[in-house]
Amino acid sequence: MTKFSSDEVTGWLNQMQDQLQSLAVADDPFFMIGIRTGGVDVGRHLHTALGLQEPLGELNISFYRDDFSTVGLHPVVGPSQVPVSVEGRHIVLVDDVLSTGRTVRAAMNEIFDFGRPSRITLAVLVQRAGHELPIRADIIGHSVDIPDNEQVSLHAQSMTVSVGHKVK
Amino acid sequence: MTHLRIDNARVIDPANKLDEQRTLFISDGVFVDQFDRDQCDDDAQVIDARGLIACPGFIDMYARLREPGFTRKGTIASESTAALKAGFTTVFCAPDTHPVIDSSATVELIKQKAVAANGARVSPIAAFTAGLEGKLLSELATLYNAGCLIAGHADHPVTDTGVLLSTMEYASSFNIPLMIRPLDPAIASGGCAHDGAIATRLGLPGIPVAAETVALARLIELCTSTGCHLHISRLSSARAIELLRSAKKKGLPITADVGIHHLYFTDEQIKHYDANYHSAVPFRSVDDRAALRDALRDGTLDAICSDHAPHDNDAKLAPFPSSATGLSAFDAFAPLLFGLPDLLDMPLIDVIGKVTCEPAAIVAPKEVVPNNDKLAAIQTGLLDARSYSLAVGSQADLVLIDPQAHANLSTENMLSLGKNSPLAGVTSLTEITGEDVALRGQVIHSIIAGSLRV
Amino acid sequence: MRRSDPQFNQFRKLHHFLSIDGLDKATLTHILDTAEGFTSVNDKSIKNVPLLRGKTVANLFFENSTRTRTAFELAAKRLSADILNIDLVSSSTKKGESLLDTLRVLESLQSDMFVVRHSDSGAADFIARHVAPTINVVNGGDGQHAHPTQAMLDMFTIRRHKGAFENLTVVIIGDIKHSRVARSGIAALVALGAKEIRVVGPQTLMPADVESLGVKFYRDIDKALIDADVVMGLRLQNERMTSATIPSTGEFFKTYGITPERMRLAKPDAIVMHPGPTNRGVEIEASVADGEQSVILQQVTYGIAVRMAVMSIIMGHGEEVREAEMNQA
Repeated sequence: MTKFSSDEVTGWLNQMQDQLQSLAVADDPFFMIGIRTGGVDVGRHLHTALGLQEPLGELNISFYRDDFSTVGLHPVVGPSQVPVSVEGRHIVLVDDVLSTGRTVRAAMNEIFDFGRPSRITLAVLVQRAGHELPIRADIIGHSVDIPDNEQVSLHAQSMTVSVGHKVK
Repeated sequence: MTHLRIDNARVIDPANKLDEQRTLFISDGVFVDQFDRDQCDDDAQVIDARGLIACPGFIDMYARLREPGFTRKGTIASESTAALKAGFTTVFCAPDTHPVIDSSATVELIKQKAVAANGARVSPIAAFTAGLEGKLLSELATLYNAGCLIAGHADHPVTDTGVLLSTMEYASSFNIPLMIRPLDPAIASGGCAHDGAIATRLGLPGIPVAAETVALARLIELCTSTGCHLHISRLSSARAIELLRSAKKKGLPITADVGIHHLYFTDEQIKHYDANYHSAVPFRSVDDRAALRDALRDGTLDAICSDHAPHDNDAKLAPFPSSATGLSAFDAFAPLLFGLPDLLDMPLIDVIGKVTCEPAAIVAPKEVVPNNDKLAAIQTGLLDARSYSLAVGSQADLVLIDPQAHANLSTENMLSLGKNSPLAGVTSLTEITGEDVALRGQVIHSIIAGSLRV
Repeated sequence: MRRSDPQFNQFRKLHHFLSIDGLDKATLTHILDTAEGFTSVNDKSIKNVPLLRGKTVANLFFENSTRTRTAFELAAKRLSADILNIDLVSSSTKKGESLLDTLRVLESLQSDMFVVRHSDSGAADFIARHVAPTINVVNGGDGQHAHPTQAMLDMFTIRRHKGAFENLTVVIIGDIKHSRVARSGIAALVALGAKEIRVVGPQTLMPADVESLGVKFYRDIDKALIDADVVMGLRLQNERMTSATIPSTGEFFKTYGITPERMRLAKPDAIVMHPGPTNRGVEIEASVADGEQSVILQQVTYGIAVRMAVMSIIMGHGEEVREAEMNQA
């Protein structure tokens, strides 16, 4: 089991913040949306650091997942909160870990049910191997190359990240 | 001359308070004390009844044979054969056939079919109003002479008290007993289960106890003023037992019976809407069941009947309120009866009395009806209830029962056409009521008028 | 042989939604929490989620009810399911086709879920026991027995507006005897640990041994309303007047109507609820039904999210059953 300290994780967040800063355009500010729950934890840090005016959007993607028939409803994480219209906006979608890409697909499907954004930028704290869909992050805090039977977890309280065996 | 000898049986004869090992001799359809030396053992058929109980064949005060009219549910042939398995050598069949048993023609039809079936004796219950409509009297004396030892009204309450009064007066002129199930239809209105906490939780319309007791109180008063022999059919509640007890104490000519299932089941059984427990006489509370059991022990209840109600499968495959009422009782009757001595702490001889000499006493003719046809009726295969026992001279209707044999009831081995018994596939009642009653007791032989039917 | 509760499948997952009876606090809370997740569906321009896309929900209404049927229809549509509305009130069942035969025909229409309303208590249970194992059944109301989705939306409303159940005194007024809404509501309040549940009405409108349900019976509405947190009215049906159960709507309103004067006996922040449609001037005075304490309209809105939650929860396990079936085949 590998652990990344909160200092290391802060370093990744700073890197992401820099990249997002260079993305920002004065007359077309992006609207940040975090995917519950890890993406919201990461999003909150970025949202504060960047001093964004509009509130952080929070997406509950439980109802857009593609594994409903086999697994049923995932644990409930509260209703989505998208306080700003996404119509014609540049969206920055934030998640903690990108692995298969299915979560991001679900999130994008949900965003499009709110309206039609002009563009979506994907920002993830950690990208790992194991893509199952042609989805890549635009802004990455850190990349890891780990076997399939291991997983990456963000611990929101301490803002540390651990890599270890998958818990069944 | 046909001879039958039964060796090594434990002979239980409630009418004569007998319970001992002895040999039974039967010649030409009656019990004899020994065979005539010249015609003895060469001709005699011998049954070794080691380990078996020999007792008079059971008399069922109330069973539905469904024929004529409802042969999808049962026929006289199928049900009178199944009745033998229950230990019944005589079955009183319900008058709500189609046509109703209100004419001697229908009585004859039933008698003929019964003889052809070669199963238990079938004793038709006459409907005491024409068509069971509750308005006009049936020809009670004619029906009695045709062979109906008792008249009744099935599950159809007579609402016109005037009709009830005059029926009872008329019947008492001929000493014909009337069998009536106490039911006030307005109070019962639409109900399908005992009106208690369980029906409340299940949202099932209830049948209050008052539906039985109000009707019973009325019947008791009518009996008081007419002196008619009233047989109360299939009681269900503690309060009704109280009314019955005080009526009997006053010396009124009232007898009563209870359906065998009502000694076992309560409204707990319907908790999961199991239509197999949907009964016209509802299974009531634990306290009601306790009162029925006490009443059996102390003699307030004279007899146990089967209340047999066979149905085609479809009739029970519906939501509870719409499902047909009644349980198929014959196939489970013997083990249920034999579970009673331990369950009720009652001697076996008394339990057997409730299905032998007691029902016989209820239907035995009290005075000779002024007509010679009655004797002819007895000869054509009907019950001779005058002295129902194993004593010398009595009609040789008896059963040999193995009290230890397990029932192992299944829908495949049930003899009745009606497979609607909640006991199919059940080995012990612990699974159903929580009471530890192993279902044991099987009829091995059934003998009617000295001839072996099973 | 003892029958078991058909609501749970062999994997101990909730497979049908038939009655509140048999469901524990954790299950009920899970349904309420899931419903919270669905309340934001309306905020999107596409007012649905793809959860049940490709699934078919059939409304089998053997009893008329436009309101409930429409509510289920809307919930199913918000889940992207296809709807079949089968009119059974006038059709084959009247011709004498048995319920079982009707079910067989409907199964061949390849629905994934049946929402059932029937006038027999126990009908939903019967249907659940006799459908193919992959079909989920939701009880939309069976006779006088249960209306579990109504109970859940009532509980959702109470939790939203009044918080924890442990502190609440809930008063239910009217025809408890004939009300499936009351029975399910009481069962839910008991399971969720409500502090006190009171029922009020004339004896003729109370079922036998009503307190065995876990309530306290009051004959006098003025006594019952003291310090109430939630006041629930029930619909009074016309049959009650013709069956010698109560004399008139006028007398009912005088003795048990929810009026502003009576509401002053309850807590000042008490809420007023009613499953609808309300009979103004019979069960409730118009000013109370339309007043500030009334959450009657919100109940209807919450009903959509609650029904979406129920349908999603029970439908999410079809694969396990299908696999089990294939392994047995």
